Amino acid sequence: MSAIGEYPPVTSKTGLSRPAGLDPADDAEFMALTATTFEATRAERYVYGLVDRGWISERRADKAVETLRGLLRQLPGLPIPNIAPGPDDLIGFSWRTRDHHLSLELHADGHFEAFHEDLASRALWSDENGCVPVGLLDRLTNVI
Amino acid sequence: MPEQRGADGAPLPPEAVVFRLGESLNGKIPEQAFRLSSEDRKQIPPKLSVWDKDQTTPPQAHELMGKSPRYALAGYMPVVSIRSVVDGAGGELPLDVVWDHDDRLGAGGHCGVVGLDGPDTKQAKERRAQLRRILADLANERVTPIC
Repeated sequence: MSAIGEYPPVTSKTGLSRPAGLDPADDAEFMALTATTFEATRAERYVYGLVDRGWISERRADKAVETLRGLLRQLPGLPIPNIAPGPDDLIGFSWRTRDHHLSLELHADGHFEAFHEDLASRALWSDENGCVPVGLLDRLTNVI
Repeated sequence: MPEQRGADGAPLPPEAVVFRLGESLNGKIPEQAFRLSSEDRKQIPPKLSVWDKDQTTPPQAHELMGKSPRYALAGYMPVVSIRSVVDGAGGELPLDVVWDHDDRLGAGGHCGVVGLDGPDTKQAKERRAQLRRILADLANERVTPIC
């Protein structure tokens, strides 16, 4: 399976080719991959649209897209997060389930800030780092 | 519209409803909309801009903010709900909504949420992140696009 974020060439009316190595008969898997790729593309377009609309710098957008692609490569099956701009050239990703809320924010100075709230116990966790905090990856793996 | 606002810095009446402008991929008001900007933090006290819905409309607020950045959404929050937000331990948070006078045409509804700032300790940051999440959930109970 090709890595999410590395898009296949456009060869069909749907705009997506069937990835090499995927059994053509396995339409469910193909459709799931297509849907995820579509959502990832939509997310990336949204991020660059924020540049055009005066929310964030192009540099922040590039970093956000790089980070999103990295997360999707490292954690296959991870849902596309909600993405939102904040003040001072900040951009945030968030994931929500019934019991958990997680977020990752990219600040203008390049550092990452991650939060996790267990909505049942209301327990809080956070970490900050120059790269995506490892603790967030563990939490995304375990609760999303 | 008749003048209904209170004195600068005075609390809004409990029956008031305010809105916050925001923007996100999935069409919801995100928690990032409740982060204070560096300019917000310079105010005394630090305040997050919100608008009394009876004094200013979302398109007016958008216009007054210069349309850049371009917001897409307005999320409405009853003042009484903002004041009743409690933290994870069930303790009350010192949130309030106060008038923040802006004399430009259409800006009569400008007010600010106070209590969102604090020390930069790990615990305080986590508490504020939770607070932003709670406020976003509240705002998402009634969201409208800005036309």
